[in-house]
Amino acid sequence: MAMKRNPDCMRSHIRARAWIAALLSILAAMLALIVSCRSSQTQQAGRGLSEEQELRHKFAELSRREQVLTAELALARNQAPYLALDVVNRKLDLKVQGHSLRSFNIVKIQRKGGSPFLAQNWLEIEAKPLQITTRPRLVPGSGEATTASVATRDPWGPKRMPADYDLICKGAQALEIRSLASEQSYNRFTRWIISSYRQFRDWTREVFSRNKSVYKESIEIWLGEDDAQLLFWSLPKQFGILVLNAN
Amino acid sequence: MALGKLARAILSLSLCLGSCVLLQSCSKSPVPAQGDPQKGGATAAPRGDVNALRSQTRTLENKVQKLEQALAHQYPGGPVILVDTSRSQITLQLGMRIIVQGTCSTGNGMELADAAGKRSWTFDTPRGFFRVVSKVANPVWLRPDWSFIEEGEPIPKDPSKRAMANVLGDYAIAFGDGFFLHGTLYTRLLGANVTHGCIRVDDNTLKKLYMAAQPGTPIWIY
Repeated sequence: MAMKRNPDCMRSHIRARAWIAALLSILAAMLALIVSCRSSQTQQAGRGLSEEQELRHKFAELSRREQVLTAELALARNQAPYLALDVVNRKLDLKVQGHSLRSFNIVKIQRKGGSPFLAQNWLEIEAKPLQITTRPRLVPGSGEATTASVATRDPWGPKRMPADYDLICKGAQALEIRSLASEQSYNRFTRWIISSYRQFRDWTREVFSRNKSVYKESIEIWLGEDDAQLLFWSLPKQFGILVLNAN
Repeated sequence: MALGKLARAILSLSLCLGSCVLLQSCSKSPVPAQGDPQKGGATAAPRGDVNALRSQTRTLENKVQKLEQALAHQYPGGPVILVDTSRSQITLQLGMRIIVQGTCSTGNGMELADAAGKRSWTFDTPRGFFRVVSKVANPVWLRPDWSFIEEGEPIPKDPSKRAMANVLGDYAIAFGDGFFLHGTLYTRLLGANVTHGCIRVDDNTLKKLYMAAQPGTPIWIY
């Protein structure tokens, strides 16, 4: 009865449904389109960005390597030995033409003054010991045999070198070499006592010294006593120092 | 009738979806392929930068490679003499390859002053870089003043009285400033720092050094 009564109403209802469905589908399609466009743009941008980031990272690394190599090459072209100090990696090497002759273990390192840099070449002009080293004296007329006998009884060598010294460089820069107790020479407790005393002595020296502000820029390097003495023993009169990663 | 309307609705829906897919595919087509910098679109500017960066990176890579090669080639490939004074060891190398290694003696570090105190000598072996200046077989030592003072002898005015044969071994290799690599009569003292600055070497090592060294051969003392 009701069906018969409202055929137009029924028809319009169906038409409305179809239109709604069509509209919904258009909306869904547009939504899908927007989403797909956005995701595609993001993907593209992301791919571009990651590639760019990778390139920039590689470029930065290569730039650093170039600076380091250029600085080292400037020293290596000269045949004289030079010191290569890597502040961040705590490495100290005596090198000739890119080839390491001796390596030293840095126990502690501290930088004072100056602005950060990646690679610089310093020129050492004076090694200034903080302790006085006395050389054995020969008596005229004693003869070579006596000299040899004295030399073997009281041998001259790295052990007779100062353990604390400043390597003063051109431009008021300096490497301050300081020594801690050597691992080979003492047991752990004695080593701790001696090392603490030496660090305290260095601190007092720095605080009360009149010359504390002499250096515009300095790097304090703590080595084992044996290494500090061996380094002093090995050094030529004047030499270049390659300083890396002084941040 | 109802079925026809439904069909129309389905048709419109499918048309919409079709157009959507078409539009989507159209929107994707202008995006350039990765690594193709010539094509435009929204990523054109950054891709241009990336391209420039890539080319700069390549140039820098080549430069770094050249620098690394240059550094590696600094160390001589020919004979070099290394003297480790802390271990009293002398090494002859051909490039990085060790040819011969022996024990040596270097400076005793002593100081000597003449009686008047006007002149003094320090018997150190110098550190650093040197070159072989000359080499001689059966060398004759011309005693310097300090040798006479050390022995308590008067310094002769006649230079011929300074000559002393058979004390420097079979060979002597000069490396400047009066310093020599030479042999010794005191072989038991090899390994100790007992010299007046010269480097004493055993006969066997000295012969090999003499054969390999030429004027200009690098010597590093450290």
